[in-house]
Amino acid sequence: MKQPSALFLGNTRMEFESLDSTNRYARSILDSGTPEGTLILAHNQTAGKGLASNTWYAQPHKNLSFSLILYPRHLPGNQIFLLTCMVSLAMVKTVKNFFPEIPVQIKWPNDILINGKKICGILIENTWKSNQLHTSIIGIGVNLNTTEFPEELQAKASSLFLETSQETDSNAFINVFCSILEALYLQNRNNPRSDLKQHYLGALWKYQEWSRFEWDGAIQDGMIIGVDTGGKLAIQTRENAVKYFDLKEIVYH
Amino acid sequence: MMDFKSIQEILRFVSKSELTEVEIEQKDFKLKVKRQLPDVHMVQAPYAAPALMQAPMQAMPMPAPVSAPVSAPAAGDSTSASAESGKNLFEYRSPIIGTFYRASGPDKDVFVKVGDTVRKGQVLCIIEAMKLFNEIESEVEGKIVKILVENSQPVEYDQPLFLIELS
Repeated sequence: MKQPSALFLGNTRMEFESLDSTNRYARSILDSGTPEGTLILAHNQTAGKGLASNTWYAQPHKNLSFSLILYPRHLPGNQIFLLTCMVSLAMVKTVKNFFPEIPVQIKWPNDILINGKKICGILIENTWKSNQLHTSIIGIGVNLNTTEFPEELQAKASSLFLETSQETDSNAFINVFCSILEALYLQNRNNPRSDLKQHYLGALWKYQEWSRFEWDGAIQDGMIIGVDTGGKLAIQTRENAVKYFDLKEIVYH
Repeated sequence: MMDFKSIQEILRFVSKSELTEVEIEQKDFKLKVKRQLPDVHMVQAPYAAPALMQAPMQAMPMPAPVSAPVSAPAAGDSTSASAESGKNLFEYRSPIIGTFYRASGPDKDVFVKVGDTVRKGQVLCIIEAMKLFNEIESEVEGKIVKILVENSQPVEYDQPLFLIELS
């Protein structure tokens, strides 16, 4: 397979047999002149951060856990959701690069699904200085060659290996991801009006399909029709109204 | 660059006028003043002190302040404690919409509390916006006088978060 190479993303690499969290390590070296694009890779992540208590389940050497350091200082403060758009889109494109036929989608805002099961989690942590976005740590956990999951996760989580019956080389996967993310990042930096969000929507799970959601305490029909600048989900209701939802205000059914 | 006195004059002018927004641009300096009008039935009440908006995002020859230091005016707005009047207070405002967190987790120590002295670059809070976690660093040195938002509450863009007495 052709291996594109990135100009700066992932060119500086720090590789660890084991780390508590690659994002935490990235944060600890931020202030020491770390070059943009630095990649921190751990073969075994012992305390991968997820939202609140959701620690990321990882099989050593089967999962891919890494963080990238970006300096997206061109992004206006109200546009930071574009970071979510570009990182999730880069992951979808990377999976498609290896498996063009696989149905990979983004579950709003930033989970990556294959056949409705999560194969990748993204955790973005930014620092701000003087009212401006200063650094961004992009944390990625991919179930690449994971062969099994604990029973309680089997309905919700899967791996690229389980979905395709093929092993994927982790270095090749990282290289492709870095070059795709870098292209999206530079495109957005050079042309802020690029159609990044349209592409994000195009990869969004249940986009423009009538589906069941729960909001305001009731299960009801809705159709995802977009996301606003801040990343809120725009849902059209059966009454032809458009409602905007924050994360905790809506549940997929 | 304008001096502080002219800025104060502009603020006074705006607060006395009917204007809600004023933008002044010079060669290398841009000032934007925005003010929220009180409810219509409260027109007789003293206006809230006008708030300085942040300087433009573009690269500038000087560091962009979040909000300029304000000497709490005698007829200060209701959110800043009037007891602090005269002191050099800095109102730290939220750069984004999101949820305000005082610690990095439920079982973690708070980043800062009232009475703490903070230095430049010290983390004041985290604002979570749609799963993006934003560590907000202080750009000033001083003492935390007041924390204006409760933990895990939603905050708007430009909403005052901390009152810091500049050292």
